[in-house]
Amino acid sequence: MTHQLRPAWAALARHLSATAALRDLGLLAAMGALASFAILFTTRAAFDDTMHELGLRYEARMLGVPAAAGDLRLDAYDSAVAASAAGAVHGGRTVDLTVLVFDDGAPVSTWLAGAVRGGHICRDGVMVDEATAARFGVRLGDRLTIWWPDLPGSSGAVVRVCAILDVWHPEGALGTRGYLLMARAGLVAAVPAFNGTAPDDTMSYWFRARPPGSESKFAVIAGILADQAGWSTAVLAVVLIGAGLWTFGIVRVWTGLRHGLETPRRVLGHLGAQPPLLAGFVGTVTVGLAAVGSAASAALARTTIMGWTDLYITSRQIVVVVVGLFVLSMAVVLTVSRGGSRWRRRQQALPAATGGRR
Amino acid sequence: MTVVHAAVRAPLVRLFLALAVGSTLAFILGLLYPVQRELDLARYEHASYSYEVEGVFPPTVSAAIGAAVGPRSCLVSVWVTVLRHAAREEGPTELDAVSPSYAQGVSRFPPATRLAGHSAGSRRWIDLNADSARALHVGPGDPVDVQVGPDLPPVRLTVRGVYAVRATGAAAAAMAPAEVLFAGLPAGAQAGYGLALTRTPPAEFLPRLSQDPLKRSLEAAKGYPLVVTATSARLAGAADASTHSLGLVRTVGALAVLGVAGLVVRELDVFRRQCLPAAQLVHRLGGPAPRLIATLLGMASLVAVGATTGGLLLAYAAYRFGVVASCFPPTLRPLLPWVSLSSAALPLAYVVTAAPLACRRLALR
Repeated sequence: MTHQLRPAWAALARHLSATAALRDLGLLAAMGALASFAILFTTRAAFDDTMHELGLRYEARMLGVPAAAGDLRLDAYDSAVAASAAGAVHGGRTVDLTVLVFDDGAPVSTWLAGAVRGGHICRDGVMVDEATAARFGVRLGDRLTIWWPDLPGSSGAVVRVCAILDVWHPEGALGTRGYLLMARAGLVAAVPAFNGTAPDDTMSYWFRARPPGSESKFAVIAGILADQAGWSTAVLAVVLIGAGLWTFGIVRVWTGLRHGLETPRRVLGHLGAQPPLLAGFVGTVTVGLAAVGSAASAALARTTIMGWTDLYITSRQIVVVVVGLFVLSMAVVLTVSRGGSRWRRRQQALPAATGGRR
Repeated sequence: MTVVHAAVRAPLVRLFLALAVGSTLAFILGLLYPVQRELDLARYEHASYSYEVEGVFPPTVSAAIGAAVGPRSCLVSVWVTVLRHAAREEGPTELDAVSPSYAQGVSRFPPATRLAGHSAGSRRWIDLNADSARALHVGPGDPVDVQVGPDLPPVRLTVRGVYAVRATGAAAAAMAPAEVLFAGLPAGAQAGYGLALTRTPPAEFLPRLSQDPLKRSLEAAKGYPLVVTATSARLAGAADASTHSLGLVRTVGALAVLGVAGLVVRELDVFRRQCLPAAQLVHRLGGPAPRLIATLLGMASLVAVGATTGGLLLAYAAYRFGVVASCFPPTLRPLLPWVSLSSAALPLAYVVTAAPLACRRLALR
């Protein structure tokens, strides 16, 4: 069969129209961009929070002040606002932040095992999430201004960024809030009025134990997927409609290719080429177009979302969406190819079964 | 020409089905965030009043407050409660208990957003927003039980109207007459109002509210000084709080237009390529090329316009009947003809562009 493959596919390839292929790629990119946008936007908060939690290393977590001290304690302070450093290079943009504060000597590096995207853990600067850093266009070593509008006597403090962390949205479903991680000594030095202020929340982590009343890491992630990040029927409906739109685009491209190559397919069939070889060509071209189309559409959707809204989409989510669309394309092509083959076999068997009458 | 008609019938059907299915899905996704944003903002964008006055208005001075804030006004007691119908429960629901002066049409449920029902009803009525009505599976005429206290029997009301509005920070919202709800409270319970809605400018009503003995009563109830907020400020606040920003709406709108445009151009191009052999045959038999092309592309454009309009109507129906969201806001309906016209312009533009090229190609062969 392999000796037939190359000449048969070469003959079919000669009959492919480059204009039609570009046109179909355009359709896939346009349909895919809308589908990707819907999927990226609706699953963004859940995806970011899940990936952040997966990147952390701990056995159990407890919210509030625990009876027994854990391996790491973080105090969360809401109502912080970050803006670009002095000089206002990035205009008047601000981001609402939750500041996580750790004590000197706390094993933060163990906790952040897989959540650091760049830089190093430090005590004299801040670690900021990727979305907030992108919002201000700051990189490692750049400076940020933070202040607490609700804290009397608080003036803005300029802090240095020493690490970029995974995106996490402390308030769940909305996905607009960022976070900073910094040492208590550094915070008090930067904002003296902060000394003695009670935290809005406290989180304790255990690295090798699970005390009563704590949540395991698995339970925390299950909680995010169940409700914390806004999973609902509406989200699933949007994802399904997006997937339906992409499936529709793939089916149209596959049908167009099949019809366009019908005449050379028949000629090659009469010359002895096996039908699966010919169907395989259409499927391969469709999947190839789908691969390029899914990547182009997800990139287009991400660029539009980040350019026209204040939302941030991580490159990891783009990869997941592109892979998801590609796998869906493969499944659709396999399904329609098998359906087409069965239909053709039935048509061929019909004259024999009915004695030549149709 | 009959030969041409017979030859293009199947491609025309395929063109219609492909455009109808694709544009329906694209329009459903394209309308998703504009609809949600409209629901988030409708309460203030189409408000039938201009100012909200926040305070504590004891029952003893309610009538005087109503008179002071002007003739087109309404007092509201904002409750957070639970609604029930059969085994279904919806809560927390922001329930506006409105004073009898509501009859003048001033409320946080703008008439322009009414989806079903009417403004007149029995004495024991309740208006629901579309999200609550969908969650409870009720419509006008259905009974709904309102919880008025932890150990108190619920007050049964009849749904009068359903509105396309949403409270800031809570999906469920409702409105019912205060006198019926207050009657469900235990004897001796102090039930007053906390919000006055009015069309009168503050410069007119604030001096009246600052005069004794009204001012003394408000101070005694710790409801003075009053906080006056314009609906325009409320609208800006609702826009800030909405997760569906204007940027998001613009983004999805642009991507939907791109999707429908890509689909229309692609399907018309496929149709043109499929029909060219039949047109060439007729041309060789003596048929005039311009007329042939005009007939083919004319039919294709009509079918494309019909399919995209049908797709838009199907997408509208998916919202209207609660398949995708709780409703399609009536205030967005004027947008539909423009969307329809824009999507119809695409096939027409394609035909105008492609016709000369197709004529030339046909004449050359």
